[in-house]
Amino acid sequence: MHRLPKGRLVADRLRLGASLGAALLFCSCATTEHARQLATAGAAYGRATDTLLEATRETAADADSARLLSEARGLSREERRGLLEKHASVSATLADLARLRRHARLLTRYFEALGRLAENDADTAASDATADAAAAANRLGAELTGSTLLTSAERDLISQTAALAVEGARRGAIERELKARAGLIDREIGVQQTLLDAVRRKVRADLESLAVLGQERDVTRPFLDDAVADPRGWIASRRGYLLSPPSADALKSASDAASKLRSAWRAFAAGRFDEVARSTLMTDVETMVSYAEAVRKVQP
Amino acid sequence: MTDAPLRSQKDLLDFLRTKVRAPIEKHADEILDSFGDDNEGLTAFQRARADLDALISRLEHKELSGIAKLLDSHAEELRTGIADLHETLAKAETYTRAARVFWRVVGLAARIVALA
Repeated sequence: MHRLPKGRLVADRLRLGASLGAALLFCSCATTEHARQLATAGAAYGRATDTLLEATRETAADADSARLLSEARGLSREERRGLLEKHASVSATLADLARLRRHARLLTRYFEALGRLAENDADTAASDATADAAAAANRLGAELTGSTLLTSAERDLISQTAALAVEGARRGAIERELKARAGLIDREIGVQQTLLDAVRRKVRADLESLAVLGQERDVTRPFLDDAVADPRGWIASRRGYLLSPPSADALKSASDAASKLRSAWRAFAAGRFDEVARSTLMTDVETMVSYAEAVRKVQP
Repeated sequence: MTDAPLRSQKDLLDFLRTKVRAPIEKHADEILDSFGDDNEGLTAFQRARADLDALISRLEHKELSGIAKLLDSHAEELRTGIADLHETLAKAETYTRAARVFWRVVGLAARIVALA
């Protein structure tokens, strides 16, 4: 009979701690959940930017080759050599784009790391481990004394407390991270806006050159000169130019995506959550990826 | 009609791309045909096109490398952030392990209480 009060004392203390823990857990979930959502969107943005930059590199190289062919018409061998040398400068632009891809991947890694911290796997693992241990202790108590120390509801509360310990640590880390780097990420996304605007203008110009020069070279000139050696190939080529690539206006989504990511980040850093910016950002990111894929498909 | 003044290198770049190079590319074949036997004129025209490309390329490089330089200035701190986040995540996983150990101890304590 003396055993039960001791057991109850332990149970009462656990119960009190668990109740407080569960209340705190409820308050803190929103912050980490918002961090997780924002980090997911940020990582998706980074990956989309990387894909777009790779498409931009390929378009830049192809457009330069198309110009080279066009500008070589009627020139001597020596003049052609000089022309080729002048066009070597495209390498610098391609290197710039490769360098910018590395930055997009770095930003992706940052958001992925933030997202992993904000995910609730660790909480769940702690909660499960605790629930298992509490249940085992209870079974043991029942075997030895004929009564359980804790009810199942109390066991649940205790396992939530374990989740709280881990979740609280993660929440604290996210807050510290915001305090340390919210301004930096804001500036980084600001530069990304400028970058995507530059990319949009370049891709538009390069696609235009590819279409105009390509159509002249592959369709119009052979036709006018009555020099279509492979009619089937010519028809396929003409079809490719007529079924034109997606409008570069779709790239406006790219600039918009950076702007929305910045809005969502600023709101989050200020303790709010801009769900509209986050959800429309995801739409823009999908448009960016689809556009980049479409551009890569239509290139010669 | 007067065009707006070019206020920046970005404006100049867009002007050269869209108002100078694009129309030339659009009518390149007609222009080349118009030279007929004037090889010198044709060569000068093609050379001018290549020079225009080189100028646009230089401006593009300046714009993109300027942006990359700005991003470079953030890169080190961003890497530190990634390292900090990984470290914190590793700590959170340690908490999970600690919670597991803690509850084994509680289980043991319950056993002792029950036996007392």
